[in-house]
Amino acid sequence: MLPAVSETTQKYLIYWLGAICTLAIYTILYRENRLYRLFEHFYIGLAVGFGLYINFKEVIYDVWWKAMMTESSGSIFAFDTPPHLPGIVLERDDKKEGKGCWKWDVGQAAEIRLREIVKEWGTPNYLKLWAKADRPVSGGRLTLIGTVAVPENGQRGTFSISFPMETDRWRLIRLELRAFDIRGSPFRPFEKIGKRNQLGEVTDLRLRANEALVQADATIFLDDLNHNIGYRWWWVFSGLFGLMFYTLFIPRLAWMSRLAMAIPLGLGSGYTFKAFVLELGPQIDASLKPLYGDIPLLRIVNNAIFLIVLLSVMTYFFFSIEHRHSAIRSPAQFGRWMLMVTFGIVFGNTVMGRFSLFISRADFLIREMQVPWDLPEWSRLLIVGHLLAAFLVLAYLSVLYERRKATVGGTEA
Amino acid sequence: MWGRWGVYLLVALAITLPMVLPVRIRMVPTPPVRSFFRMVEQIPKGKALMIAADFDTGTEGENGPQVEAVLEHAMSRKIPILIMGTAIQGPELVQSYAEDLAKKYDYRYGRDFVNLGYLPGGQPVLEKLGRSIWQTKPTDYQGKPLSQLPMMRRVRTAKDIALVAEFTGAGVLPWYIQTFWAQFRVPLAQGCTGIIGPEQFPYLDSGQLSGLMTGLTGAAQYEHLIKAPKRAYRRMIPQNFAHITVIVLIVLANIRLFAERARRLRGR
Amino acid sequence: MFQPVQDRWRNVFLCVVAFVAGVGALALLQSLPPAHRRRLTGIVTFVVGLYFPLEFFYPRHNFLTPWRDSVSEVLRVLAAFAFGLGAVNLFLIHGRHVARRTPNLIFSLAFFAGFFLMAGAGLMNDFAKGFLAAEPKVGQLGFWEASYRILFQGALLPLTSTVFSLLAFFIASAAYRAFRARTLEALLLMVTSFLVMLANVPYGLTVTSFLPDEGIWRWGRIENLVQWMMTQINAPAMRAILFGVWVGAVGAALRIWLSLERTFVSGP
Repeated sequence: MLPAVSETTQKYLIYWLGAICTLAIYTILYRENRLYRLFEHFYIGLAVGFGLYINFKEVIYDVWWKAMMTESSGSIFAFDTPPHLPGIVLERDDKKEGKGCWKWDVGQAAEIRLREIVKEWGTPNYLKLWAKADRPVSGGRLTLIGTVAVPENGQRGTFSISFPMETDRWRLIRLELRAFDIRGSPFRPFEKIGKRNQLGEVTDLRLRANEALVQADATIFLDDLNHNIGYRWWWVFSGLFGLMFYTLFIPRLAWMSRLAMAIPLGLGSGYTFKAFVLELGPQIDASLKPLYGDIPLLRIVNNAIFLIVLLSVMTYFFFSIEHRHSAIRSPAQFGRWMLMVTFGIVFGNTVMGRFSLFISRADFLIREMQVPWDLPEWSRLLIVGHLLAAFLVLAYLSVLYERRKATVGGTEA
Repeated sequence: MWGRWGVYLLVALAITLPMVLPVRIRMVPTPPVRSFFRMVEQIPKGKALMIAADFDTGTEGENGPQVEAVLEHAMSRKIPILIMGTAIQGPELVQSYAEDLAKKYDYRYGRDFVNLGYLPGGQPVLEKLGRSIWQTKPTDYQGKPLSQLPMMRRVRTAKDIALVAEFTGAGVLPWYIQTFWAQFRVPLAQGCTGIIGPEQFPYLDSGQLSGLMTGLTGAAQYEHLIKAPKRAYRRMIPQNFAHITVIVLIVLANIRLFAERARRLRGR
Repeated sequence: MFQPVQDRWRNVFLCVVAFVAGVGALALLQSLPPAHRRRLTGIVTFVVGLYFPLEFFYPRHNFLTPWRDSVSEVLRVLAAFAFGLGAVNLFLIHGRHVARRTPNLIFSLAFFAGFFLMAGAGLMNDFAKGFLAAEPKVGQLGFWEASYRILFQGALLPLTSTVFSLLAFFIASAAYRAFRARTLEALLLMVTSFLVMLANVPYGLTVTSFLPDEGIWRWGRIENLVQWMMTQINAPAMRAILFGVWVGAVGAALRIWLSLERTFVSGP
């Protein structure tokens, strides 16, 4: 049995392992050495392992495998919580899924309305509902009616289906969305139920019992209403395309990896045109700054400077071949100066960023040190300093070792 | 060799020694940081803040304190927080900060904050996320269905998000501009590393970006605004000395250059 | 044709059939002359590249709109599959070192140790938490969760951020050795970088803090001056660069889309 780890132990392990890793990497500042190289390789392994793990868990398994090998269901209503509706009680013993189910006395209320449902259904193809009656009722039928709305245009519509409810055994009822009766036109073209069925904004769901059930004074058990897409076997193809990337390592089949790469590259280049409009439109718009009119003088001056800098730097870039004519040469020269100012700003910020990263490591080593007793800060600095010295000695020994090996190898050769 | 080691030693001392000194500093927030603060301050009740953790552990030293400051601000205002990221390690990092802060503000996972995890695929995937969060990521970072997380009942599309706060050390802001800003009209604020800070100013000017925090300084200024000086503030003290050291080094090098030039001229 | 099925075993059968058919189609293509295959790659790129522009520039909700979710999903899955490419490459390199027992053996073993520890702990924590591990009590964590956290926060995070933090030393040393004010351009660069470095830390601001923060004098204060430079010089210059980058990006996209990029279609 592998032991459980207490939170304190974990904190200590995180700090001291982290301190060792940090100091071992810093030995590179002395010279390239074996200790550094060892931790560097360990680091690459960790990073690649973490990347593969996350990609596997969150995409390969969660998106691809689940689409292909599961029904991609989502819960609409779980019937697990107390109902607060007349004629219904929560039943905990005789349930099909989860924590409980609803027991609906049809005699008290012939129709129930579910409001706290999941609104976004995605692109389901069928619904699944567990249901049964307390006794066989011949001719018993339930009707499920949903209301949908399109927030953009405020249009509403309903979709409904009627299904038999005659047995007294738990039965999984499948309701094909294609078979639903649709009233009103809340759907956008091409997004109709049953076709490309993007189903969002389902505001409520009603369940209605028919005459036969009411007259028989039946009790109906309901559990776990789901929407499902179904198993999508064709995702195999995207897996196949994904595997085709790996033919890169087999020269004879390497063309396959280029064929697979054509999809992300093609889509990406296509998206560039769309992105151009979405991103650059406002940029161009914002460049046309007002230079006259009812605005303060300071703004006008600033706007003019903005435009001059923009145009001169653009001149510098776009006429980069030859700046012979003075009408181009002098703005281009000015543009160059302005670029230098900009690069100065970038350099200043880079210095800030690089140092922040080192400060964060030093801060971790000194301020976040985990020791069981209270230490003043200067003594922590001393501890870290000694540790670093020990690591540097190791690095020095490793450099000596390599040098000696090189000279021995040299004399042999 | 010795010259290089000397510079390294100087840098190391300039940063570690001030850490143990009892020094106090005063931050002056810049306008972009102030507008970032205002954007979080203006999030209406019931709407969520989306934290896009697009940074990896490499730039954690800069982006980490920024995220912590914004998380703290949002938590003190009881804003629901949605975490996701287009970088592999980002969501995991932000999750650890959120868990640390959650105790202080009585935030519970699932009720007040949710982590969707890693979302690769670029703009098309972000577009889909804006249209329907539930469809793009039906489960959270641990594989738990969103239907089991009460907060997600109110957070379904980009309409339920009042602000996207993006944290990065790379140029992925355009992805969010092209999707969340341009297609769903969700305002954006960014916390970025120092090196890419200047690149974001055209977006600030065009209004595509509503707030900007650059590097550790930005984080410290934000901490000053929310009156909770913590990691970033504490690290600004050595940062002071680091900048002064670099300036002194460059000045020394130039004095040497001019001295050499003068000597050469005299020799001639 | 692509109708989801409701029966598990029928689905498995169809999966196998589709896979075999796909492999068969690839085998057929393999027998084609390389020039034809190249043309096929070009055609696929072109047709696929039409999707986003057509869907977007055609008025809202056209016949292509319903496919956008599937397209984004495919992109996400392909991105995840592509991540493994780098891993396979590293596996080949380090596997060779291990197999041939080269002097690099120990480093390659360290690589594999890191890889399997991290991936293993993560996968166990997600998919088999209770495997061989004792049930954690209050204040404890299960073995797999604890090892995942320790490896992430205690090894991956410090290693990555330390590697990146080395740049602080290198930039200081480079600034000392290479930053010389020989020309007007270099002088401009140096002066602005000094101003920015000063403006980014509280001590830098004290240089001009004796000036009043109003009237004409406020422009003498470093924070205001730098903010002005950021918005009036840096922003337009960066926007000009952005325009240039976009022209380049659209050009590159056109080249890929129309298969003018030789290295991609026909390989190196």
